[in-house]
Amino acid sequence: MTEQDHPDGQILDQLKQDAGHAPDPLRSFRNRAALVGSVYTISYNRAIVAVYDHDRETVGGIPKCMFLLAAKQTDDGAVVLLRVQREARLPTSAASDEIRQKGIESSGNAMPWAQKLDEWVRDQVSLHALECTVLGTFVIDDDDRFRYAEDIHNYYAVNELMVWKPDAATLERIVNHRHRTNDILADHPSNRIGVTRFAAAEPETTTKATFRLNATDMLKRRTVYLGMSRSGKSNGLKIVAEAIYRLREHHPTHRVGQLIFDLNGEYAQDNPQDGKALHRIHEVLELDRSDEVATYGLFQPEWDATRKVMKMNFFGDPLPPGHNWDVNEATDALHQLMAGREIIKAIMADETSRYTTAFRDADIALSASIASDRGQRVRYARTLLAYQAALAAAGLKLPEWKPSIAGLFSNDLIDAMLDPEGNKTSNHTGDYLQAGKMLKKAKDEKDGQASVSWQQLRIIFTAMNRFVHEKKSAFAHFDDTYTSRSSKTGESWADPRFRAIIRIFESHNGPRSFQVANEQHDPDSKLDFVDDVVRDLQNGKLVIIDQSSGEPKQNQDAAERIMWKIFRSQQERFRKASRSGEPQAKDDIRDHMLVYVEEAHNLLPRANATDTLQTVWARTAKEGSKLNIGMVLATQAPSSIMPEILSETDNWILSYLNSEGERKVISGYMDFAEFLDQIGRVSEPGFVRIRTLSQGYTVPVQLDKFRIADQDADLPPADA
Amino acid sequence: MPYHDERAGLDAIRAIADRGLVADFRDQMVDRHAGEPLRLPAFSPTPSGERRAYILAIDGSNAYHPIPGALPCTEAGFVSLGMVVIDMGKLISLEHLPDSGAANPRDLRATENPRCLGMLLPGRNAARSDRTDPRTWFRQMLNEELAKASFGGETLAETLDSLLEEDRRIRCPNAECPERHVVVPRIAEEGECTTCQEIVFLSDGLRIHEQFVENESAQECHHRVRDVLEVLALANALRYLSKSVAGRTALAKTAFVMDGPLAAFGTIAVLAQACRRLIGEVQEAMNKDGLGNRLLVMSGIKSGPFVEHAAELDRGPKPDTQIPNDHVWLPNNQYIREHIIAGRLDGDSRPWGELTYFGRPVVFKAATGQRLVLNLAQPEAEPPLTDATDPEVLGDALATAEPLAVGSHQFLALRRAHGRAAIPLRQGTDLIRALAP
Repeated sequence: MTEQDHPDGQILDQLKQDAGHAPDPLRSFRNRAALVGSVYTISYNRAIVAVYDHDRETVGGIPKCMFLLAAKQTDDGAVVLLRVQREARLPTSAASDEIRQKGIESSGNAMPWAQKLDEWVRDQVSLHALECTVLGTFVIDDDDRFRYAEDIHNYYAVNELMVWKPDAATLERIVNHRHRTNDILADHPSNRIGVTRFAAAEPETTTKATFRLNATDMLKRRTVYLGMSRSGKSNGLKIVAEAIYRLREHHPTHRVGQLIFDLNGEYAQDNPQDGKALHRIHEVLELDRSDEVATYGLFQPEWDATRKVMKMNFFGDPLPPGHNWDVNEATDALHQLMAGREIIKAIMADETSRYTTAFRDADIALSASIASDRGQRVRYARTLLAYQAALAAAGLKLPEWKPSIAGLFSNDLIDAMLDPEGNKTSNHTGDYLQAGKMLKKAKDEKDGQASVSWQQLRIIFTAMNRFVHEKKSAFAHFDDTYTSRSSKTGESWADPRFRAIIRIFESHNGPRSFQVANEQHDPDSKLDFVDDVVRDLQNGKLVIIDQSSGEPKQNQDAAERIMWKIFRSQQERFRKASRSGEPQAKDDIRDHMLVYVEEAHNLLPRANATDTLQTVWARTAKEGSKLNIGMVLATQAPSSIMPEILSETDNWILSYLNSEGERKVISGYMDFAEFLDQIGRVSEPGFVRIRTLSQGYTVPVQLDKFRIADQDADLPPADA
Repeated sequence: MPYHDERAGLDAIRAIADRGLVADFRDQMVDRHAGEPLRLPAFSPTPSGERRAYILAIDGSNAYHPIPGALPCTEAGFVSLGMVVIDMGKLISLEHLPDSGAANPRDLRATENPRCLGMLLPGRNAARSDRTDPRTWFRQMLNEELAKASFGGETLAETLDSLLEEDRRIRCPNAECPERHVVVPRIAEEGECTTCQEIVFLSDGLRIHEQFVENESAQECHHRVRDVLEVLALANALRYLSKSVAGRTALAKTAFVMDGPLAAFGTIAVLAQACRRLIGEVQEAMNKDGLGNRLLVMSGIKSGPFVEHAAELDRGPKPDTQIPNDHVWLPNNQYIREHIIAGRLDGDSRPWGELTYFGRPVVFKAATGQRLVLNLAQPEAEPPLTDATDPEVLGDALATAEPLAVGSHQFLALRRAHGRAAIPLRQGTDLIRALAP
C-alpha cells in the first residue's frame, strides 16, 4: 500500500467514519430483550399480540402502556414499536371463559379453580391477547442506525412477527430516541430527569430505563405541565429547570436564562422537608452564585444576602434644577417614576370614579417634542410635581429631596388665588387663600429654592384642583388673561394633563386608591429591578421572583411588568438581528430565555376568551417562539387554557387529573388518549407522562426528586 | 320427513295407544332401577403398577358436507387421524413459575411428538368426471390413500393386508353384480371379479362400500373409514415396533391409547379379531425377549352405556361420591348382560363383545376423584376377556391413566390426539364447499 492510496490522512477519517459510532442498541435487541409473544394480527394502527402467562411472568409482567417490539426473528430491517393498551379477545376466549367457569364450579370455590385444570388446558387458557397501538417503525438507515417513522409501511395478514419486551438498554434506547430537533445547537443537551414507570404497582425489580430530557426541546417552545395540586408539579418544574441549567455543564457558554415566578417561595427558599431549594442550583456545578442565580423579593431575608429587593423609587429622582434640562437627562431621572406609574395604573385598573380614572389614565410620559419648548417643560414639571404630591398624599415613603415650586406658579396665578374679590362667590375662598399664601411664601424664600413640604403640596394641589375646576373661582378670569397674553399656543394654563392629575385631590380617598403601592416603593432605590431581571436573564442566570409575600394583585402586576420588559427586550433583539441581516439567533443558545408560570390558568386567556393577545402572557405564549422565549406553563386546569395555545404546545408533562372533563381536554392532543385511564387513576406525585418536541411518542416516567447534595445541614446563607 | 308448514295430528299415536302397544312394551322391557342409588359392585383397591414413560395416543376425526353447485345432494368428507407420542417424564416434571403457576409453553409442546394423516373422500352422488360412479370412486380413493399412509414403517395398506384373514372372499363390490365370492387381492396383487371384471381392491376387504348406497348419505361409510384408520394405525405401530429389539423396548415403555372402545363393528369387525391376535403375537414377541415386559393397549371411553352406568354407580345421591377413590372394577360378562348391555344370558349365546372387542371394560376412580372408563387389551387372555382374570398390565394401565384423568372424567392423552386430528368445523365445511364447480 502506498501513501497515495490514502492521501492527507484520509485513512483515519475513513476509520472514524466506519467505526466511530457505537452500535445501535436496537441492532442487537433480540439478544437481550425477552420474547413475550407473537403478533396475532396487525394493521396500520393496531396489533393484537398473543401472550402466554408463562412468558408474561418470565419477562416480569406486562403493564399497560408498556412498549413492545414486534419484528421478525432474524431480520433487522424494521422493528415495529407497539404500546400495550388493553386486553383483547382471541377466537378461543369464549371457550377459555367456559373452562374458567367450569373450573370454579368444579372446585366449589374450595380451592383455586386453576388447580383443577390439567397442563394442556391450563396452557390453552393461559394464552391470551393484548391489544396494542402501532406507534411506528424503527427502520434501519444507511449509517446502520435506526431512524423512527411514525407509521408502518406495510403488514401481512400472515405475518412472522414475534414480540419482545425491551430490556433496560433497549428500553433506554426507545424512550430517549430523538425524532425531531429544535434547530438549536447544543452539546450534550440531554439530562436525566427520571426513570420509566409504566404502573404505580410495578415492583422494584421491574426493568427500568433512565429517561433524559432534551433541554433544547423547551427552548422557544411552549411546555405545559398539567396536574392537580400535590401531583408533583413544583418538583417537576425544578427538575426541568435543572436540566436546562445543566446545559452549561459541558459547554460553559450554553447559558439559558430562566425566570421563575415563585408564588409560594418554594424555589427561592430552602425548607426542612425538601432541603436546598432551586435557588442553590449553582451548587450542583460548583459555580459562583453571583454569576448563576439571582433572586428577587419584596424583602431582604437573612438567609439570602444576595437577594435583590424588588422595590423602586416611585418618586424618581428630582428633575434637574431650572427648566432648561435635557430631555434625556430627565428621562433617566424619571425612569423609576415611570415604572412606578405603570404599577399604579395597574393597581387602579378597577377604579370607576371620574376623579381617580382621570388621574389613572393621564399620560405623563416625557415626550421628546418638549425638548425645545421651555413652556412645555414648565407645564410638564408642574404636572409631575402634582403627580409626586399625589404619591406623598397616598402615604408613600418620602424621598430625601425637597420638592420645589420654582418657576411653576406665576405671581398672577397666586394673586388670583389670593384675590378675595375674584373668589368672593366661591365656597373655597379659604382654601385658595391658604394655598396662595403657601405658594407666595415659598417663592419669597430668600434662598431662592422655592421649597415646599410634601404636606404643603397636598394642600396646594387640593386647592388648585378646586380653583381650576370651580366656575365661581377667579381662575377663569386669570386663564382668559393668561391665554391672551402669556400662552404662546393659546392653551389654558391648566392643560388637560395637569387637570387630570390634580383631580386625584378631589377627595381624600383619591390618593388612597393606590396606597398599596407603598409595598413596592423604596425611595432609596437607584434602579428599576425589572431592568436587573432582564439583564440577569440575558446573562443566562436562573432568576427567581419570590412572590410568596405581597398582595396577589400586586404580584401579578409585577410579574406582568417583568414579562413585558422581557418581551420587548427580546423583540428589540429580534429587530436588531433582522435589521443587521444576521442569521436568526437559532445557533446561539444564549439568546434564549425560558419563563416558568405556575397556576397559569390565572394568567392566560381562558378557553372561551375572545381577546387573545391583550395580556403579555397570551402574547408571549403566541409569539414567544420567534422571540426565543420559551414558556413552561403549569396548571391543574387545562380546560382553562385557550385551545389555540394548547394546539401550539410542543412539550407536555401530564400528571394526575381527577376530573374527567379536564382529561377530555387533553385526550384530543397527541397520543394522550391512551393514557387517560392512568392519568385519572394514579395520583402518585411525580408519576407523569412526557411528550416533548423531539419525542415521537409519549413516555410514562417517574420524575426524580429534585435534590441538591446537602453537605451543610443548617442551610447557611445563600450568599456567594 | 315432515312437510313445510305441516302439523302432526294425533291419529298415529292414537292408533298405537289404542292397540296397547306402549303398555305391552313396558311390561316386556327389562326393569330399570327407580332412581335410588345402585348397589356398588366389588371395586378393588387400585393395584400397584408402573407408569409408562411414553403414551402413544391415536384418535380420528371426520367432517362430511354437501358440495353446493354440483349434482343434487353431492357430498364429500375429510377423514383424519392424529397420532401423538407424549413423553410422560417431561410432562410430569414440567416446571411451573411461582406466581402464575404457568409452565413454559415450549417445554409443554416438547412433551409431544405429533403426526397427522388426512384424506378427502367422495360421498353421495360425487361422481368423477370420467363417469366413475361415486361408490367406485370412494373405493379407489380409500385404497390409494391407505397405500400412501405411513407413520414411518409399513403403509396402512400393508398393515391391512396383514390383518385380513386368509379367507378373503367377499361379495363383488359392483352392486349390480350377483357374484358373492370375489377374492380380495394381496398387497402387491390386482383383483378382479370373474363375473363382471370389476377391479377389486385390497381395501374392499373392509366391505365399507357395502353401506355406500345411492339414496343415502355416505357419512356412515366415512365414520367407518375413520374407525379403520384408528385400528390400522394401532396395528401399524405395534407391528413396526415389535420387529426390532429397540422397538420392543419402546413397546415396554409405552402405553397405546385409543379413543372409544377397543373394538371394530359392522363390516370391519374382522379387524377386531385381527387386532386381538396381533396384540397376542406382539406380547409373545416381547415374552421371547425374556424381560417380563408387558404390552399396554387401552382406550378411553367418553360416552355410551358403560360411561352412563359408571356415573349412575357413582351417584348416591350426590354425583361422583359413591365409588371410592383409588379403586377399580372390571365388570364381567354376567354383570354386563344384567346391568349394562341387553342380551341373552343363556349358555348358548356369545359372551358380550367376543367378536367385536379386543379389550375389556375397566371402571376406575383415581385418587384425585376423576372417574375413567377404559378398555384394556389383555394379550395373555383368550376371549371372552370379560371372564378372564384381571389383566397382568392392569396396574401399569391405571398408574399411567391416573395423571391423565382430567376435566370431567376425560383422558388427557386422547384429547391431545383428537386435537391433532380434529378438523375445525368451519374450515372443514369451507374446504368442502370450495370443491363446488
